[in-house]
Amino acid sequence: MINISPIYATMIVQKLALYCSSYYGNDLYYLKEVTILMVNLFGEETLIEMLKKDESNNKKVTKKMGEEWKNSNGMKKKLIRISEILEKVNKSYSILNDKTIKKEERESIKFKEFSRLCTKLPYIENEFYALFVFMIQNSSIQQMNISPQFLKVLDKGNSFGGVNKPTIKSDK
Amino acid sequence: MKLIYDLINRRLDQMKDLQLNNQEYKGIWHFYQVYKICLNISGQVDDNIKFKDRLVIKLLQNPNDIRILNNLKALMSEDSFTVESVLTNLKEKEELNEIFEDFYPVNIFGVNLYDRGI
Repeated sequence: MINISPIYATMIVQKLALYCSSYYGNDLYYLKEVTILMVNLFGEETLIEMLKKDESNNKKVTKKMGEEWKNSNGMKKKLIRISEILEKVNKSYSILNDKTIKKEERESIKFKEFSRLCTKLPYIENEFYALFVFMIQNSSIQQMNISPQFLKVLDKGNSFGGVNKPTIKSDK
Repeated sequence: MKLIYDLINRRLDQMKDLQLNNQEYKGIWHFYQVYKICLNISGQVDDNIKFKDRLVIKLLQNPNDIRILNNLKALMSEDSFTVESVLTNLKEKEELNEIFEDFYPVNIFGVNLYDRGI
């Protein structure tokens, strides 16, 4: 079991809250952030050893992942590829959500690009989720919960997960 | 596994909210994210997951396509058994009744981070 310090634990839970509140690939961007942060907190070599020794329900996947971690088609390379896709998705998503850009402009230029990038999402392998679940199962963070205060409140005052965030009225 | 249990429930909550707001197509995305996590908790394999992923993306690109929506709803009703059984197992295993009491900032050492000014 890997102990995660409270500061990192808070960061991870905040990112997971964003993962819960977003969708269409942008959520996966936050999951990727958590996964990579946790790989670094575990330490690559420790993680590989733990994966090889895993005895959980998913051991078939995790043991293979540990054994092939550094191979040309191993999880290390896959994580790099997944990161590249998700960085682009997040960038496009941010532009689509940028209200300072005219709506028509956002939709005509960026939506096509965003849509094209999202068609790559099914290529994100199941191992990505397996790695995330494995690291949560094997760290002290598994005992935490996601506070509603971290859940992102989306546009138009819609609230999700039971959160109602007060709005600040402008003086103008 | 409190965190995973919480995460699954938060996403399922959002799915329900989106369904109520007539945005079922977005809700389906949330469901399949949960489903993939559940597969990896239970150690099950779904050979059709990539096909389902592609359908979900198609639906997000064409939210008014009833045919895709109905296909996915049919698939979801089968897949929801996996999600339910994982949730039940997690709950039984760890007695997670107190999970939705919001006592954040929670940390693993039982120290209130607010008191420490973090």
